[in-house]
Amino acid sequence: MKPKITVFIFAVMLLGIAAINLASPVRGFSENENRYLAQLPAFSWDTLFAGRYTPALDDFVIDQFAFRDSWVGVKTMAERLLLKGSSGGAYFASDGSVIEMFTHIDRDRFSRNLTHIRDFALRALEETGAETTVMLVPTQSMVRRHVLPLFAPENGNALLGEAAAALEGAANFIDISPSLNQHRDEYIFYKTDHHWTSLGAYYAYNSMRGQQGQPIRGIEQFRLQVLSTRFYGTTWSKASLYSAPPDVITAYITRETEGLGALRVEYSDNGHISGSLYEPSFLAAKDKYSVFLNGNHPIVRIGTGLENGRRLMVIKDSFANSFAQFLAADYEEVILLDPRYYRGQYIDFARENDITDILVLYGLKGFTEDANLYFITT
Amino acid sequence: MVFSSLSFLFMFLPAALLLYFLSPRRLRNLVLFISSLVFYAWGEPVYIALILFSTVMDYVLGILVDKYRGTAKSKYALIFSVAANICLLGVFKYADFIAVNIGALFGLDIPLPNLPLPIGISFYTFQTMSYTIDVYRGSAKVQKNFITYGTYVAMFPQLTAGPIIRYQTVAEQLESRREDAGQFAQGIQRFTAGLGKKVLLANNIGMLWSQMSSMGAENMSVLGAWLGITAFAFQIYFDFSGYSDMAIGLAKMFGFTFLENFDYPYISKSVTEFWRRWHISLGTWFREYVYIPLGGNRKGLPRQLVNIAAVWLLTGIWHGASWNFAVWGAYFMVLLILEKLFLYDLLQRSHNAAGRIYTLLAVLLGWVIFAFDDFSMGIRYFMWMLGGGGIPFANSHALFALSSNAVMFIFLILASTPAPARWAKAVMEKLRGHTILSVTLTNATVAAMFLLCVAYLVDSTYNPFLYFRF
Repeated sequence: MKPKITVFIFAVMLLGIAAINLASPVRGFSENENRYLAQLPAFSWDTLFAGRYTPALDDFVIDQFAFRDSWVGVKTMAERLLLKGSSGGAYFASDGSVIEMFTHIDRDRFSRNLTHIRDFALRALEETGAETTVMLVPTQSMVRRHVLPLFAPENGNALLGEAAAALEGAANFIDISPSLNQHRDEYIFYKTDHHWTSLGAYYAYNSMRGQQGQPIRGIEQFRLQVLSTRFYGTTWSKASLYSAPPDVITAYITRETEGLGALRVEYSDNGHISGSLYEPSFLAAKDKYSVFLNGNHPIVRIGTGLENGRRLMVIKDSFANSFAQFLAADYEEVILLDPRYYRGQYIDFARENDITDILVLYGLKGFTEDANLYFITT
Repeated sequence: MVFSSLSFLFMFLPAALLLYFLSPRRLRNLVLFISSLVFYAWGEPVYIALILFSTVMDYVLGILVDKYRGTAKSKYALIFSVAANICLLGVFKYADFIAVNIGALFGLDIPLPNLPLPIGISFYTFQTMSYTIDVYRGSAKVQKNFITYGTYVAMFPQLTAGPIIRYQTVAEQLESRREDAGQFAQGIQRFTAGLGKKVLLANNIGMLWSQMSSMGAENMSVLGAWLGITAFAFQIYFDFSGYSDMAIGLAKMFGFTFLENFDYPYISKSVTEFWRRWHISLGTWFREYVYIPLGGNRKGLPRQLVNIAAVWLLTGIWHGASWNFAVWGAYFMVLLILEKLFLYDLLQRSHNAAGRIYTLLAVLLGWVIFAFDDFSMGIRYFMWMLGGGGIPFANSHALFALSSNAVMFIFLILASTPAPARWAKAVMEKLRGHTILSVTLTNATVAAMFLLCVAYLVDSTYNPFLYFRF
């Protein structure tokens, strides 16, 4: 009798799970993982004998496994019970958030990218008269070290000093880390994503104004509006810590610009024109951070309606998308160029558009990995 | 196909078991043979021809060896079988290695054949050789039924990674075996234990090894180097012994009893003992078909040392077509000869702890040789372990790896000893008489372990199989 119970349970698990898998529908896209799932491969003798069919079928079975997200959640819970400090390249922080690791630093690429910016800034000044300001956003793992697991091997802090030294005499390097460090216990980074929150960007913005000798803009100059309370970011997907609470996305709308009612945002790649810095359609999808400026585009032109003759060119990655809210308070026009997508002549572009100021704004981790900055010097 | 995959667990295995048990007894070997070929074709659709060729060849040669018993023809058939199997291995496993070395020796530029290694070839060639040798020696009866013989060679539980089953072990079971629920239930428990070793232990700690082995000098530390190679030692043990457990468990489900392949090797008090507990089926094979035929220990000490040397160089190179494996075999050859001459007796007289520490250090150093195909990398890593290369004793990378894996290491150390099995037995002893409680506890543990493995496999970004390529 006893062994039959074991056999019965095993049979139920094997056949039951197999049957549920056969019966469950095939999914196309995983919101949690933010990727397309493998689909049932079409059988052919050619692909079989080439050894391509069965690996594709294995991928299909794994990706389409019924209740996939729940299984993955169980695994993550087990990892936490084992007191693992990290999973999928993200730390389990003591405040319940997941924080992207920044331990493998490509120092060669970092210094090459600094050289590209230095060359660019010198030429831009000479040929257009516009000065370049550079802001690199320290990673959450650098700013919020105090919530990382014990001995977390983070060593990115030296990079900002190296950047300041490398750009000396060519560009104004704005070190925002003192300001972010001062506010490290506030909600300046998302708990489930590597980006900064609008509040984090706000502190960095005032830090920049302070270092440029301009008065601080008080929070009362912005109208705060909650865009989403259910944002799960990419770090959450990497760590698959599905128990973590969602993030809140807040817009900081410049009252003065809003009052003018003349905001005009133009996306060059698809010709789309909008009257807002926010694209609410993304709030229904997984990638809610793309609510800021409609995600990443080669060229985004923001006409603010101000008439002060100041025109800013921003060379940037996605960290600038939420920073642009604040720039809209200061410039007549802000043009964002993303070197990952825009392959034109950057200095000619600055001259033709009567650019008066240039800002280079990147997340530090992305900056050490980006292979496209070469194009800005062309 | 590997056992630790969702396609195996929820497609192949249920289908194979259903077909097998729904078939009448006389067709069961055929069902097992055909499903084994499907299993093999999953990973190597083209090389299915090779395994069939090898099966047919040794099937015919076995009959010839038997038919001409007592004449020279019988011996020729045997020699042909052994030579052909070694040629198969030579061509498909060592061709590139031989070409590179001959090229280097004579300064020639020999084009490399670049043949992909057929899965399991090191295992099934050894099995088919054992068959013809056993038939020649009369320690096994010739098998005239091709399906029965094919089932022996291709049987999927042991096909890709052993254990190496000698024909005489399963000869009777192939023809008359009785599957029953008791054996099936044992098979389930054994299979789940093996799956847990592979998926929960080996894969998990394997990530630490891959992190440390790919780390550059700038982030390395002495502690990190030791953690890394310790992680590798655990990974390879739980990977391989887990696979053997799964094979033994699956075989039990189909009514076969295989011999044990691992016996807690890391508690050994000498290297000699380690090799009696590690990959037992390979050690047995080399003893039965190389060491003893060469004269074993019956022809005096000098000849015995030569025989040991032969076995260990072959054992080394069996593990892979690369010089580091030959060096690895030679390294153990030296240790075993030293133990044979005096060290073993010395260890017997000293404290158990001394023997254990010496054995673990010797085995860890062995894994450094084993783990790096590139010899200079292995030497660099070894220097790091000794504090060379100007690296710090510890750094945050190592301390984070240690603290992050501390619980894991406790599990790994415990699982390397017989203690958990002893505890489980003691608990069952206590529960004697409480049938419902003990049955519930056993089955809940097995089911929970199985489901946890599934959860890890669903999120399997890291699921290599170390012994797949040997």
